[in-house]
Amino acid sequence: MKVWFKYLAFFGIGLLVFLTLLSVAKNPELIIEGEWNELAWEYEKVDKKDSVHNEYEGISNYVKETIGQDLVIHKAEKWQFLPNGILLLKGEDYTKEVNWCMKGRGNILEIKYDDNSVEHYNLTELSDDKLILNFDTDTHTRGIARLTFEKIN
Amino acid sequence: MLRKYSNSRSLSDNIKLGTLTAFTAGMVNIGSLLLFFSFSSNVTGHYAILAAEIVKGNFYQIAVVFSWIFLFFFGSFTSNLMVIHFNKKNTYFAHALPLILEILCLLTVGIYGQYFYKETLVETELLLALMLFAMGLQNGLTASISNFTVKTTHLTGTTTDLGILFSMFTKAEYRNNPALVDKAKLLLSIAISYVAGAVIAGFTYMFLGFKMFYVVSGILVVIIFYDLSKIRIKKYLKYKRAANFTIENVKGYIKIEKEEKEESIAS
Repeated sequence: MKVWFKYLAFFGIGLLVFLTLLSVAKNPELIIEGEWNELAWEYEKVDKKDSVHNEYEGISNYVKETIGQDLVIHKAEKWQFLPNGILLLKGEDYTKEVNWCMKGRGNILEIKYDDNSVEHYNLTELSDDKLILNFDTDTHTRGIARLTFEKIN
Repeated sequence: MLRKYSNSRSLSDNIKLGTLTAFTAGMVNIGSLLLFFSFSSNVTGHYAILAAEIVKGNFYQIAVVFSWIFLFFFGSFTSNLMVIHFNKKNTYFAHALPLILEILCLLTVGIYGQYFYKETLVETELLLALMLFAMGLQNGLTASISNFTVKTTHLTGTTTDLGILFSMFTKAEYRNNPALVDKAKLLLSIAISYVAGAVIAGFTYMFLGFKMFYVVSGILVVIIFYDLSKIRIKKYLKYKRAANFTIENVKGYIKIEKEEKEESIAS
């Protein structure tokens, strides 16, 4: 077998693996499009020096109020991702339009607000019916928070 | 920096090439992290991510990370292919060509990012792919022409070698070995330069954004033109020396002939 054929076969196999993987996978930008309902706000990791020793996990509303009070998203209960990069945050008598995009390998969700402030969330899990976001909290309480959503539309 | 090959390179050649390319690699790596939330010059992390995504069964992410690793590999492959195939025809050209390709890749990232980037995931992944290919080109070139002494896009090997060397220096016989001391100097200058590039990229990212890639391309242009200017100066000096030598010869020849004629007349 000639050397050039071996090389061609090697790169061809690489390309084939890549194309096969892409054909069976769905772009995360398409999976996230639609309406998502907030299920829970949880603490996943808490700073050990935190002076308040509460059982955070499972106390969704408490966690949301504590760590989300400086975040625009805390008023929202439903998140609607539109294909044109618009995210509608819907709450009780409340709707806010912000911009969203994905970074990295589709593992980072970036949310941009009107005042040019930007928030980044780790897309820990994204399936057709479940979305889990993680983010670092550095105001009032330090730790890593987790938001869980279910798809409703 | 680029003219010499393998063992004919001096410590100074390797330090100059190593520090400048490590500085650009540090800038590109932090630039990609801040702009796209992914590293572009160290592939070890991508192997770990690939394994994690395989475990999770995320086919899209597996495809993306696999293509990034493959492009880094392909960059190194292309670089060395150019070096070994064009080296005998024109060493300088063979060594400059991968850097020219790298500049084109990074300029594409800079121009596209500044004027056309809509922040879609596909764009982000393609720009990262170009940066990984560019870093593969650079690492392949520096490693290839320096006989695997200079590797500038990641510091795992450098830090390991520095650890080994520093432990060796506890013994006088190694401490007094100039080759080992030179190697430590080279590795240390690469590590410091990489960190300096990364820190400067971190500080200037807010003001420069995608323009950061123009700065990186500028540094790479300096590497290319530094050697080109050296070649021209060397050629000029050689020409001048040759010209002087001929005139001297002619003068000497005329003088000798004149003396001989005078002597023959006198006799």
